[in-house]
Amino acid sequence: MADAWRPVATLETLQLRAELLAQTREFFSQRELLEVQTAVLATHAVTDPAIECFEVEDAGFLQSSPEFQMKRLLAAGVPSCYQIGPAFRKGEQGRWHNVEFTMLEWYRVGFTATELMSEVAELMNVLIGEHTCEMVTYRRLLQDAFGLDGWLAGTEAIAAVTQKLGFSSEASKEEQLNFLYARALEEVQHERVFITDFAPHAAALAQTRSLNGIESAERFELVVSGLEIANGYNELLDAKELNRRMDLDNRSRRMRGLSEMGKDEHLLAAMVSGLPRCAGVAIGFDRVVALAAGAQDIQSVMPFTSANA
Amino acid sequence: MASYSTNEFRPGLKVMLENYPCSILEADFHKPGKGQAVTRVKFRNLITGRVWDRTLRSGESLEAADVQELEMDYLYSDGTDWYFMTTDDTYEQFAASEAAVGDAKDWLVEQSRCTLTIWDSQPISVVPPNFVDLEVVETDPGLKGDTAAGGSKPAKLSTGASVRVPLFIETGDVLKVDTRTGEYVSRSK
Repeated sequence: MADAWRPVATLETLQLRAELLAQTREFFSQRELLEVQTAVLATHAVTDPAIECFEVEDAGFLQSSPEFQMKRLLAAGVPSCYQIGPAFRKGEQGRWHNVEFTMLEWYRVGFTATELMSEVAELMNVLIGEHTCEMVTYRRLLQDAFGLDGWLAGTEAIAAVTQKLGFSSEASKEEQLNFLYARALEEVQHERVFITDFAPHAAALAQTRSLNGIESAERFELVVSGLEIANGYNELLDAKELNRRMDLDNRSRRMRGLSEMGKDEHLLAAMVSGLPRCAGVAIGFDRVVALAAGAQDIQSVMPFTSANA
Repeated sequence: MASYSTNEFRPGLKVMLENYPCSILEADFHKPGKGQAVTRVKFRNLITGRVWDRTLRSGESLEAADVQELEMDYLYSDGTDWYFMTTDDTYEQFAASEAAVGDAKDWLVEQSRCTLTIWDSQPISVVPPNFVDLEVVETDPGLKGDTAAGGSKPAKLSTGASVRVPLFIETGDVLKVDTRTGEYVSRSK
């Protein structure tokens, strides 16, 4: 195409994007968070079986998020800090995905997940306009959408629901729950809602806690207009538990025929040395810009996308 | 037969789903920040015409459907099947069942150029030309001079189809009909 060299976003959208970046920096500057820039190319990448990173010969991997290095900063005594930078995820391409995207991530030393959610809600009020945020637990979300208890339901009961919704039958219980979670989000009526208290299998790097005999992860997601915007944790501090989860990830990678990922020793060492109690969150910045612009995909708020970058 | 992975899904691609040939209408990649990627797909079942929503795990594959769209001329019907012939120099003939012909049978005129969807060498749907000329075989007598005023009446056409026509149309007239809407367009002769 003769016009393929042209940027995708309009000048007006680029101006809006610049304005939102400035507002974000102003927001954190007022709260005295330190802006940091960690390496995008690093020796290790996440073990998460659902995330594939681009490997760069003789150098390592393009990072799927700045999480590991920001935690190393915190362990070394750097105070609450934020970062706005590129993140890469192989194969993630679609209306709301681009293999390279901009991530806003910040950590609050001494914050609980609840306190961090309030801050996320405030930032959203600044960037995309004032609106209240509802709170729904992961368990309640699945109960309301499908009458299914994600903790107690057996594999067959879950499969009965997912098959009715047209999901492939030979998926594991966890995959089926992930699918139901994604489907339930589409049905959510609240304009802005935090999903909290995830099932333990979806803990990722969040701490877990036990309430009335039900174990859940202190993880939250902010969903705006059915779109996943933010993902945050009361951060896991226990290096041994992290090591165990990384091994589980690699086991699940082997079962899916994926190559195992080396465990990031620097992160593990930093956690052994001691990560302060903190909460952290990552936001898909392009999606926020798309919401502010009223765009129907993230491509239209990016100067160049993977189709013509 | 080849197969297509979800990342190759494009609108118009023909694949097999639950033993039916389907055409992909939309395919949308979706991945939660934590959790496996899925592809949400809208399929049109080419046999029943129904639209199916399915969510596949990204990376899953579906077998390609051996579906072709071919231009053919309608020849005749023996009451059970409708016969068509390809327009290239192979002159290959295809017999379409009543289910495959469907509503198109109201508009089939000998020698008219139709589009047939063929799956595993069997016609599964027939699309008639957008406009066909058909003779009126039965209608109330025409009203002389009433060529502009409103009002309409039913007319039965040579194929058995019934259309609303202006009052001045008479038995024996040949009409141009839009097959997509089933509406009268004009008088041809």
